[in-house]
Amino acid sequence: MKMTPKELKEKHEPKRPVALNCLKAFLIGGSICLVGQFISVFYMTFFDFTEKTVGNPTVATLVIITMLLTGFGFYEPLGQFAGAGTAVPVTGFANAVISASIEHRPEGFVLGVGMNMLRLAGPVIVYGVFASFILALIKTVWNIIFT
Amino acid sequence: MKKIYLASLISISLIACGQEETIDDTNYDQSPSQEAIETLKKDDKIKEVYAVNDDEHLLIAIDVKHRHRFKRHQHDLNWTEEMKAEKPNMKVFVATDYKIVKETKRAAKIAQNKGPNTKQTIQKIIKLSKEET
Amino acid sequence: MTDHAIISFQKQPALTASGVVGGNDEHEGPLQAIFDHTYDDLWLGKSSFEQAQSQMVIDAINYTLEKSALTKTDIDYIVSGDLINQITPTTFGVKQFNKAFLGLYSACATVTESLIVGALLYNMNEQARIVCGASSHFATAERQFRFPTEYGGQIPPTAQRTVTGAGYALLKNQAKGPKITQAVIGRVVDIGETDPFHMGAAMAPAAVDTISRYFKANGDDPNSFDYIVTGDLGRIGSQIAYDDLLQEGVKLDREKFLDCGKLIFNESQNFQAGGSGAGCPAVVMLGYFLPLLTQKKVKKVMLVATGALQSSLSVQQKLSIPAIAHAIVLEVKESA
Repeated sequence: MKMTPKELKEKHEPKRPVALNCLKAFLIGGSICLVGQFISVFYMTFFDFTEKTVGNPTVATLVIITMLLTGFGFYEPLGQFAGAGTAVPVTGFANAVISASIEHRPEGFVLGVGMNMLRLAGPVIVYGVFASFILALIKTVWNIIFT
Repeated sequence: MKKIYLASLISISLIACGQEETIDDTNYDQSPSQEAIETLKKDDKIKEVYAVNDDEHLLIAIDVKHRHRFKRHQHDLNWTEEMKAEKPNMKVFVATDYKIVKETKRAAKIAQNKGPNTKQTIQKIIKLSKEET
Repeated sequence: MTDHAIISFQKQPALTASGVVGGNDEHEGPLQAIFDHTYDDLWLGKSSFEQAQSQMVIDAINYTLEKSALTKTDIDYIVSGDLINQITPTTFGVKQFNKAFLGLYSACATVTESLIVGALLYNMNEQARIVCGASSHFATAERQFRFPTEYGGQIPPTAQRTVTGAGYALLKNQAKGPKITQAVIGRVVDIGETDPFHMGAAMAPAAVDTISRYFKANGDDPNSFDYIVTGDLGRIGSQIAYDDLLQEGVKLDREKFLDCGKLIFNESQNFQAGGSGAGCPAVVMLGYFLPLLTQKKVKKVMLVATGALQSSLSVQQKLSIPAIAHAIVLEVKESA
């Protein structure tokens, strides 16, 4: 019985450890969020931020931490280990922006960093804005019709 | 020349620090706060209530039980209605925010011990909770 | 019908010397002894990774010349290529040698392609001295084909890591030494594989096609070869290719079927399925197997470098990944 290359591929491909990857993503992603919560509580305790306003400084702090981790080369191995755990929180977004900026530094600040900074993160912004526009539209129409 | 700069810098900062706020040690009767606390404590969604008041404002901060926090903005509105009905002659303000709870707890303690600046503190907390960014 | 894409060279050039350089990850791998020089840092003190790759090309050619006791005025041609757009790292590297240059692109199969072209040039003129080889750099390939180097995305276990390395060899007229006797020019094979993180599966059918064409045309016994070495199929691709070869009637012992991508890294280095990139077969074939032949530890080796011919645009346009495999046969004659 002759097997096609596709069948051979399936035969030899290692199974991806989905359950283990989920667990790792949960633990690392959860730890990042825990750090974020600590930062929030820190800002709320020592500065005049409420739960509503503490988001911005917390995100900024996490982005700065990610920037350092990415620059010193710690984030890439962490990402390989944790998968979605490091990609989903804001640190994953920051890493996408910062790694692209570092990568394109040799092409200069305008044509390199400036143009390529959002090469990976750009779609997130574009479709984030687009999706929120659509949702706002739906909500407005809903309110007009049903209230 | 440098010394003049330094001197003026120090003096400016000293002047800034020296502008001490005037102490207002009016004491307000905290019984409206106590009544509000007694009423709200009956609600099983609430873990802890703190309240402080002056002659016109009643500030109530509610620590919501964790499993009810998800809908706390809805509950917030209900509690505000309830309290407004109970104290029609006061400006009632209800908050469930972590920071506001913390600040109100401190202010309530000071007010109960006949501490100063109750009115200013309440206004400051209300202003803080209205900040959007 | 005879397959004219299988070439038996009448004039057989000898591969006399090779220069091989690599990066730090390759130094930590099992083949660290084959390198003439390894760099601690991917930047090589340059301001961009592309310039670093150019420097590796220069260094590898210089080692080749040094070992064959020639200077850069003694060579006639340079035949080479790499993975990067318009093969600029190679062009910028070879420009300082100021010699006739043929730039090639067959992705990771560039090294055998350059040796085939070199052998053809040699058949035009037996006095020609030709430097052939290829290079790749982890960071330049990564930024062109995948994501920025420091991007923390998870890579599936089928992916391969681009080797940082350059391997060059000198072809010339010499009685002694291993000679290029035959070559098989590959066909573009496309089985419809679209996963850029599973190059081994896309390239294995190309390797199988090239190898089985050779044995069908010649009727040789596969086990007359000491080794059949594939380029960068990786652990998974190598298995696929071996099983497929058995189906095609090429009865080969498992331990004679090696893969450069499998050899270059330790499994403990966590580079998923192994190494890849034009530098991977260049470094291992010219740095490891060529000296084995020169020292007469083995007599006959087939080198089958495989290349995946996709671009980052074709992958984004959801096109499948076509692959190619060029093979050369290296032999050491008993009498020599």
